[in-house]
Amino acid sequence: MPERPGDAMQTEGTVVGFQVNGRRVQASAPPDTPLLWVLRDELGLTGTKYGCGIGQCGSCTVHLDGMAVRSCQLPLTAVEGKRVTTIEGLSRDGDHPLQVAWVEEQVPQCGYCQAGQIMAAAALLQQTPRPTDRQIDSAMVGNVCRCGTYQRIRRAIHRVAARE
Amino acid sequence: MTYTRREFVTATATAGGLLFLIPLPGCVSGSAAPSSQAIPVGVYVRIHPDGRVTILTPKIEMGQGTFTSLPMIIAEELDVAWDDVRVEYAPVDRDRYRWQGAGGSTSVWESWDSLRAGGARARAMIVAAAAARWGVPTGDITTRDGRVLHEGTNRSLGYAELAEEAAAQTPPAEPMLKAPEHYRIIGQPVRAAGLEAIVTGRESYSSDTRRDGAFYAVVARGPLDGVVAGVNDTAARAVPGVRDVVRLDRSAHQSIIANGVAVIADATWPAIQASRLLEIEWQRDGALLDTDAVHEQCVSALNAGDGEVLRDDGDVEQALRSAARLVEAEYQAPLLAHACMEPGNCFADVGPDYAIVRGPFQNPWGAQDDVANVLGLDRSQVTVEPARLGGGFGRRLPSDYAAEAVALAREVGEPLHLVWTREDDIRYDNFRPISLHRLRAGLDADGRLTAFHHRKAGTPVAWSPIRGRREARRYEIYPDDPPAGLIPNVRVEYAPVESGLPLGTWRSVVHSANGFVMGAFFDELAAEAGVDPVAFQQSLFGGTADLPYRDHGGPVFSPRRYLRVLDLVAERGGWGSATPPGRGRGIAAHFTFGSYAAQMAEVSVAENGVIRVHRVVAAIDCGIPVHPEGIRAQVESGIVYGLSAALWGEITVREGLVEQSNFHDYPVLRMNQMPDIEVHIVPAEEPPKGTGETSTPPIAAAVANAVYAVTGKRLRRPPFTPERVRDA
Repeated sequence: MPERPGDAMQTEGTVVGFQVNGRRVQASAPPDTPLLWVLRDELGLTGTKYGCGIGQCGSCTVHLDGMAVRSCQLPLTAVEGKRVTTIEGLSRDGDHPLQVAWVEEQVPQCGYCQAGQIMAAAALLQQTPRPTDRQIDSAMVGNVCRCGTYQRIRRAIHRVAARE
Repeated sequence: MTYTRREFVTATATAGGLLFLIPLPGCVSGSAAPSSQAIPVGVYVRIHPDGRVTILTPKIEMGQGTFTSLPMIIAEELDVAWDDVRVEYAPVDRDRYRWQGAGGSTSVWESWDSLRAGGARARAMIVAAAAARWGVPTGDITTRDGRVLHEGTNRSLGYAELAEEAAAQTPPAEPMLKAPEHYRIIGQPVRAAGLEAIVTGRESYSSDTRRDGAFYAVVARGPLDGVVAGVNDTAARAVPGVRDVVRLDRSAHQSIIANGVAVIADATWPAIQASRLLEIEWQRDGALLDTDAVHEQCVSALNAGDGEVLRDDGDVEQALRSAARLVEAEYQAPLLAHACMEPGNCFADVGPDYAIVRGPFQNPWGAQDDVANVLGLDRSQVTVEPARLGGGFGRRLPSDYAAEAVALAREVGEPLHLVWTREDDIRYDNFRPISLHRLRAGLDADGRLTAFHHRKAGTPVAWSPIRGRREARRYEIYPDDPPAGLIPNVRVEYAPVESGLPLGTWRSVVHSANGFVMGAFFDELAAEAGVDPVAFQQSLFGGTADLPYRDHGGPVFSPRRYLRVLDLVAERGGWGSATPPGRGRGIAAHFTFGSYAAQMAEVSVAENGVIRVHRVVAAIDCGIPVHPEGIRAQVESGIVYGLSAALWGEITVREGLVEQSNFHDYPVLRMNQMPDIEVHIVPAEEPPKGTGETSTPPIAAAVANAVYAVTGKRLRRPPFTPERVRDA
């Protein structure tokens, strides 16, 4: 293999402009490339995780113009001109109320799904600052955690809601 | 045990403060170094001039919490403030550390004595240094939060201020340990280490490894026993970004589960896409049984009376014949996948005389050995970079990702990152074995158990192709499990079935199936005896002294501690009180790897057969609770893991292909199905034992027993799908 990775991508990809965490970026990849892989492989934002690739686990959850979306299901072309927020951009210093509450409630175990969980919860609280258990269920049902941290996630969300 | 210099703390004064090495238990492998050579082994503790303390912990972290609990033990005896402690991953280094892997729920249990002693020795060296400087007896010096104090003269110093003198001290052979009533960290609800990096997305899992110039590899695999007969890669190679298509041959290493064809690309997505465009002609080597055929073989084995007798107390046949009542039941357990959240992956950079790998390895030393083996290198030439694992659960004790990645990196001649898709993860697992259990029990006229016969057939982990052929029963049945020793007549048999299936350790291993079977069968026996299930077990386990227990978790099983968790759950769960309308309660307990767990589940069952678990009250006795918040989390976690399997978990194999592929057809518990879990930790004074796996075995039985309570139906075959509930 003569060339190094990246050599050919510029010519083969479509260039798409969008905002990530407040920064304007131009990403170049084949147009059907899921945003997940653009974030991870091209922009180096590895906080957003691959878990299932079919929109079943929520590990790849990011915000698109403030709404929680599964970045594994979102082709690059769909984010043209839009605002994407990833876990790295949720707060400047890791002090988003949910991030603080996640540490206080000792939510993470292996931690792999937690970026997606936090992004889903953040979008929920944007829409519904004081969610009921049922609203938490329906907002978080798409986010799988194999360590079984759901009870702590629920408590952390309520903790933030109670402070607002 | 012979004490060598490895048992002692060594200290060095450096510009960066005071550095201690605290030994961890276990065996240093023989070839690592001649025994006369003093090699620092264990945990690094660095006390910085400003009072901060950095502890490097050598054990891998996969969510089980040793990243916090092991440093807590050191910090306690060293007497530093937990808020000053930062924890970091130690490098993988077998000349410096003892076993760095995690398995069998052993990390805290095996490190407890040596970490306490190590922390206390380090503290003693600092105290001795202060005594010398101040010219006062050591007995007059106290410590607190990383400072030495002399009350008489009102003097105090930070530990690091004594660095040079402390480093020159000889550590005491028998350091004074703190009395538990003086603990300020152990047993306290302290902050868990390392969470900030996780919640900000900064934690770098191995799948996040991004190295300049590295390619990405995704492998298309076929039947578990598939052999590649031909490949048309035209469409795959046409995908932009694809650089090469190469074979992955399982003969490269015995840990590799299946043959495949790998796509090498500039980025992950083209590799995934192209791998799906490969047209591969598969042949099968024919040695693999489908799951239906395995079940039939289990039936035949038990019908034929095959099976090795592992325990034969008294005269079971005679006792069953003379029993007032004979109870028989047949239970099954299916193959299960682990489904860790982080799919398999491994970064590999390979050269003629070196290899660097980074992957989710529960046993980093095993990865090092496997890489050396694949490449024909000496293991000293193999660097395994540490990484937090996105789940382990036993899947990652073998290091097949590493073997695959280095085989491909060598083939391609470039560094690359191997990425498994979720489909790969579900289909090419080392599955929890299939088993079939036939149970017979005799009850006397008073409803007491007098005879017990357990015949189990199944596919042994020890015969999995990746392990070779070892003692079949090793991961399948423990002959000292109750009711052995509690009643005079007990017979335990195991009949191994050769399947060719890849099998492995799955959270709680031997207990994952047996804990369900016994917890549910005790409930059946209580019902047959016309006795309350808790009362039945109180009568069976009560009044018996500790019993010998030869397998992992021994040397003894304590019926008293077993009953203590059962009674605690019954009391806190309101066992015997009125149940909310439409709900039933079930209870079960189990002894796993030295610790005791009991759970009470409260469930309802809809018309259509869907089980809803509303509430679980759980208790654990894992000895002295070192890190209570971590234990609580492990109890919740163990229950959720076991409950997912009980309600939905089943892998089936047909024509060599696993029929499930992702979370839509291998469902796991989600937020809306989460029961309220209430955890009670027994304030035990015995030394710490296993925690990570203990709470998985009882939950399936607790749920099945609760379903019986509310419907009168016995569920003996997980998963408890609506169809099986309706048909029961």
